[in-house]
Amino acid sequence: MKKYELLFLIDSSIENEKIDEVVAKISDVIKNNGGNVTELNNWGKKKTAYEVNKKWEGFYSLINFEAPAELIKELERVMRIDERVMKFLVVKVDEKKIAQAEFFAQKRKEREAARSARFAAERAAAEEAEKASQPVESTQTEVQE
Amino acid sequence: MKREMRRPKKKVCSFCVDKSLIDYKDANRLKRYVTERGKILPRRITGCCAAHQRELTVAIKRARHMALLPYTSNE
Repeated sequence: MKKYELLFLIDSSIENEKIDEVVAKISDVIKNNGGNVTELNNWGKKKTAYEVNKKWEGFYSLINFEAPAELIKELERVMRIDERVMKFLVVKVDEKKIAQAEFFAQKRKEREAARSARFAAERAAAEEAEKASQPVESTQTEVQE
Repeated sequence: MKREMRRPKKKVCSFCVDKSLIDYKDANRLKRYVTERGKILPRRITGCCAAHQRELTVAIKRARHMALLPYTSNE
């Protein structure tokens, strides 16, 4: 079993129930062929960057799933037949890279939190120093005059 | 003394710095790496390292296929 990611674009000129129907149909294909849907994420209606099937709009849906390699062929066949699916893309998920990116994102967050804490401390210290130095400054100007 | 040839400042690969994933689904981020016309910017402008530039081109092409980015634009 490998992890895959499927992004597909459904014709949004059909009714909303029909859109759900298409999404359900695709996930059924995955389930019925020994696959396992781990995450389903509907992006909803979005503008496309160019005209697709004479339309400027489509319903995007993203499915993360685990599946044996043979399933992909069947899945793509089904999607190609279905006219309501305008575009699709199945990509193998690179878990190692995602884990790495998450690890570094977490680290960066920690670093930023530490930095902002330090800044706050420095600012507080600077304000206090300013308060203390103000009378000194006034004496200096008197000397210059 | 003036130097005759001005070498541009060496850019650091932004993906190496923040070590983030290059995701074809993130069209807003990828937009920064294409021209107004939708062409992929060369490495000398993006400043990406070779490995990340390669990943970037794949991501942009995938995004184009899914109509998240334009192949070309006349605006």
